[in-house]
Amino acid sequence: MAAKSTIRSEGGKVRRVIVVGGGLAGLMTVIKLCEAKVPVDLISLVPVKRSHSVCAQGGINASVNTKGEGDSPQIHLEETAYGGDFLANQPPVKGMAEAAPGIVFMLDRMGVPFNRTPEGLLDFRRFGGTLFHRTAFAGATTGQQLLYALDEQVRRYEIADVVDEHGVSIPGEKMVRKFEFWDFLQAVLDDSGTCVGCVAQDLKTMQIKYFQGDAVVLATGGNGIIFGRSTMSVICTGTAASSVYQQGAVYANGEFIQVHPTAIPGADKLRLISESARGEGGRVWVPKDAKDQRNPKEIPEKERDYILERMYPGYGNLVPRDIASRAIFKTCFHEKRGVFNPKTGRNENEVYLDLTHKDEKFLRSKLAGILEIYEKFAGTDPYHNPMKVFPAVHYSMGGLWVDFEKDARGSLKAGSPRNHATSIPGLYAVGEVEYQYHGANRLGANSLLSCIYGGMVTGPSVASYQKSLAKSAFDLPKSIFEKAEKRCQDDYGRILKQNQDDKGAENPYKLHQELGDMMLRDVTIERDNATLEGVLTKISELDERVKKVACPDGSQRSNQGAQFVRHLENMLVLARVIAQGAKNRDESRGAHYKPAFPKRNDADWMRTTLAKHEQKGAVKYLREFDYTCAGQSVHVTDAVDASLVTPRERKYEQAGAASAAATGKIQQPAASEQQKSV
Amino acid sequence: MSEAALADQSLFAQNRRAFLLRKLHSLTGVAPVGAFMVFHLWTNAKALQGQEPFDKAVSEITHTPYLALAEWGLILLPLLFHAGYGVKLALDAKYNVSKYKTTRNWAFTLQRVTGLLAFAFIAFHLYEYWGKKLTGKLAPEQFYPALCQNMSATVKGIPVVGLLYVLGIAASVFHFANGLWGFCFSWGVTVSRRSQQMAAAVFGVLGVAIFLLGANTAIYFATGSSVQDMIFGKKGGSDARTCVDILQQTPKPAKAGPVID
Amino acid sequence: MANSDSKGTGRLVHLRVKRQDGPDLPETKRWEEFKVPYLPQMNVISALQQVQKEPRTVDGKDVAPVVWESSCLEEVCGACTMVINGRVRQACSALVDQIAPNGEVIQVEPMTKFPLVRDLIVDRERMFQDMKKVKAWIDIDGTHELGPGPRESPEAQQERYPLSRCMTCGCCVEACPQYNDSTQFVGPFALNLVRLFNMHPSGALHKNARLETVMGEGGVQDCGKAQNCVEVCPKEIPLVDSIAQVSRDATKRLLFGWLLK
Repeated sequence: MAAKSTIRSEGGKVRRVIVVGGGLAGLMTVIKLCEAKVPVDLISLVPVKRSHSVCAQGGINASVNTKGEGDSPQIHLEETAYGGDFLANQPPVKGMAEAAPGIVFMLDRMGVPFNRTPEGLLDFRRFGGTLFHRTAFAGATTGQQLLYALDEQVRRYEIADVVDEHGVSIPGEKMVRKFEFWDFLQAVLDDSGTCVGCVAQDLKTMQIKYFQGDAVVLATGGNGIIFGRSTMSVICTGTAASSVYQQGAVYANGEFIQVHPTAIPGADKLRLISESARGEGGRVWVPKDAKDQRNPKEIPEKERDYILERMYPGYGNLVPRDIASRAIFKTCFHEKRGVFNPKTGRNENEVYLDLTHKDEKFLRSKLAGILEIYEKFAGTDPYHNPMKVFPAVHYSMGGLWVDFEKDARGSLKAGSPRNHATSIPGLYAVGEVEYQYHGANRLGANSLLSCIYGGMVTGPSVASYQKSLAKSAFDLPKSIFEKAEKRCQDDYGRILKQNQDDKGAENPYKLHQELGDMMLRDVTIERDNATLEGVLTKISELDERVKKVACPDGSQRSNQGAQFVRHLENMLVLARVIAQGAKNRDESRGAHYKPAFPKRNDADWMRTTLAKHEQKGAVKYLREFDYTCAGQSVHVTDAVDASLVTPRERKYEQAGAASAAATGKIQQPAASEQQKSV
Repeated sequence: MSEAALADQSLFAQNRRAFLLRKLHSLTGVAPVGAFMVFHLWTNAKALQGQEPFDKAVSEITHTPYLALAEWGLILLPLLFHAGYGVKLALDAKYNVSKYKTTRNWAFTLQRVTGLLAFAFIAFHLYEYWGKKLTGKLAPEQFYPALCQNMSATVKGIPVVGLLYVLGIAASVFHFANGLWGFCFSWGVTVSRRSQQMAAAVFGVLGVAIFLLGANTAIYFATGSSVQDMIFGKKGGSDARTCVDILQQTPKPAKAGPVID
Repeated sequence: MANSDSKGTGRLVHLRVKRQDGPDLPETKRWEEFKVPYLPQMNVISALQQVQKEPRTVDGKDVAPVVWESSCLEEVCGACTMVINGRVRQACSALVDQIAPNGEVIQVEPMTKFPLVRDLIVDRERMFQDMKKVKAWIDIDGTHELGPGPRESPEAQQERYPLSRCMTCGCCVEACPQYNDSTQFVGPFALNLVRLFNMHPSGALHKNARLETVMGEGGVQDCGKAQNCVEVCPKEIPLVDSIAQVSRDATKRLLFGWLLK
């Protein structure tokens, strides 16, 4: 028996849903909820316009097929599943691929300045793992432009009144209330373990308070900061995901961390140079002579080794990221053929990413955003000099486990409350924080798509979940919330007080650097069980040492030190999930590569890693579990739903191999395809 | 707000008042205030030819029909509005030219500084002549000798009042020329950077010309010779009474400063 | 796997940071100086991160780590705007090698146009509120499928795209002498958004409604034409062109809008 009104609680309060995180996924969820007339409290660590989605550069995939190539959602699905090394459940991927063209059109209507063809239609470019022109783009700051478009739409709802069943505005209540500079601390769970709100902290005044919500949606992004420096924003610590994981949410495929092949090394951050640089014709090379000291422009064509084109003639520079990163890593680390630096007398961990053969005007209209970053931060002009790049941690394919319900066509069932539900009833996850769409390796330009598509699914899903509730969170006893709030306040008090008088107390920033350096070194491109064992030991050691941390700041205002201690504690928990998951998985699949087990092993490992928190320092890996969604018990196993594309070995040496089932053919290798787009 | 509701809005709608006021401010600066200033400087330049042509011009003006209406309605009120609103604007700004030393920021700062200077200068000038005329203390035909005497008064050999006039004219003319540039910008005449640069050049030249026109008269009153006299030598032959004649006839006031009576 | 930090070059980076513990604690306003080890490709953010690890002033005093706002560290989110060596900019793109190649002192202050929160953090909420005020969005009917948006020429896209890169960082308003407590000026960035959305084919349908929002208090008329905005904009957005265009459109609407009714 569902509650009488979905707008007001029995007590007369406006029933709201909480969305945590204001990136693409969070904002799209908010918009969809508002369209379903569900008022929202939007909690975000930073002003939503500064979310990490702004860093996405290259574009968003949609098989609109305007280039006469015969592209289709079916091919998009196949290439995504293939690129992800068949670890993704395919129904959500199918839903995403089918919705993609509509999503890009919607964004177009919102005013995103997508690049155009001469006849005024959307232009598309090539990206990794496909031979089709499938990526719509706005210069090289597509993520920024998409985020702004959604941000603008959400702003409209900030001034829109909540309207009751009779169409009457409720005074003082707006559809969206934003809480920016608020840090998510914990979900509030009622006695049955259902999520009925959350506790968050105002990062200006440090006030901790609870929020009631009929459901909570986490859209809090990735966790790259666990690796110290990455291409991610400093806010991407994964703290919210870790927090709910510790409250019982299942975490899936944590060990799958994408390393992007091309980034600029830096002291504070590894800045991304988008795959679109290669999509628009950029070529990766090193001098054939490892000791070549010449200016790269003086090295003739035949003395260059275009490593990706040589190793993978089928897809050339546009092989998926895991493959490109490994190739560059191998060249630099194992073969010691990185660009030679006469000053240091050694081969640096760098390769050339060369766009100098392209016309400057062309580059400015399509890639200015990233070339500007290179120019500003590396200090050389990329229009006339090859860029020097190296792989960097970029994206977490893994994340909170979320459910889906499939329809008769094998796609996602629209409006099912199971879609994007985590294993905690009432708690949803969307965007990079969940694990659903990318399998073992994400294809370029699929992340913006998965965030927006995820939001489009989660909004209706949460709305139907809310309808199913017999009792609103707003009608529950206050004590549930106050208890949770008190727990968080106590924990904050602990962080402020602990070890203050201890002379040998630890500095949280230094501990984080130790964690990051190790994770970056040992848990990224190549993994080894003995090393991972060491990593786990070290994490245990850090677990102990983090207890000795003294908060470096005692202030009641903007206490970033205390916030960081909390994030660090949460990062350590996820670091273990990642490292332990990597150690367990004795095979190589997508971004997870173990030289000792170089082959994919579908018989034993074509399954989702499901991690469950036991206590601090212990992870339990599940093969199956049950959870409740909208009153119904659902049985979950770790089997991968590969009902739409039959798994096969990845062969990017062959052109068209990734789409062979849908197109029914293997194209003849054409490095010429790479050149055609010049 | 629907489009239909928008179309109904009058020029004076409440939510457009700020825009309208600022537009009026900008407009009054150009015309009538600015335009009058140019006209005034031009009329004054007749002083270079001697008292008779100057008096004739003054007389023409003083015998204009509806003079009081024109003076009050077309000049003084717009001037007061322009000045009063301008003072508010000058006080509202948070100057930062010491941090951001660009040409336009200097122009922005100077526009407000010269506005205040011009305001003080014009108030002083109005009191000295127009105010005294109104109260009957100074007849129009006494303007010329009074100007000669006031402006040539020196302190330690420096014609302070004359110098003040040159500075006052400089401030007013800069304010006017830069104001014209701003007018073109804010009224949407010069939208591109290129047209703005061209406007800057044109108004720069115009400003220098107007300044020379006005300053020359002040210099003439202060020293008895105009700039061209100083360069090319004085041309004799005119019958008109000149400043030099007046200064020779009347003993210089013992005390420096404006003549009160 | 990535390049390890090369340490021990012995070179130090000298920071001078303006600090204050909270908005209501003006008595805690102070300057503190720090010296931190240099790292290759270091920027002001990584220098501040070093301070976090060893929060000790040059006088050997242990202090709370400096707090600041940052997110993307690649000058695309706009979070880390501060005043560095007297000029407003993003701290992430302020490279030590460029601003202090010989170990000069780097002076870091919070922006001055917004309420201070603590140390280098200010509250830029006013900017986000003004984006609501100027209706900076396209009024789409909903997110349901309606096919592609309006066609647009590549030239129009190339004109619109740079305007759309505004990250609400606050540089333009920090440098704008007209943006302060005594005005309600929405600032260059907001006027640029008005132009951006008025250029879009669907956005143009609501052009007049948007123009009306910048004809009231704090509207386009408050631009003082100092043009600092365009000098400091990290994304090189043609802000002055945008203001001029909006000025023109608003003027046209004021003058002729009611006549055309």
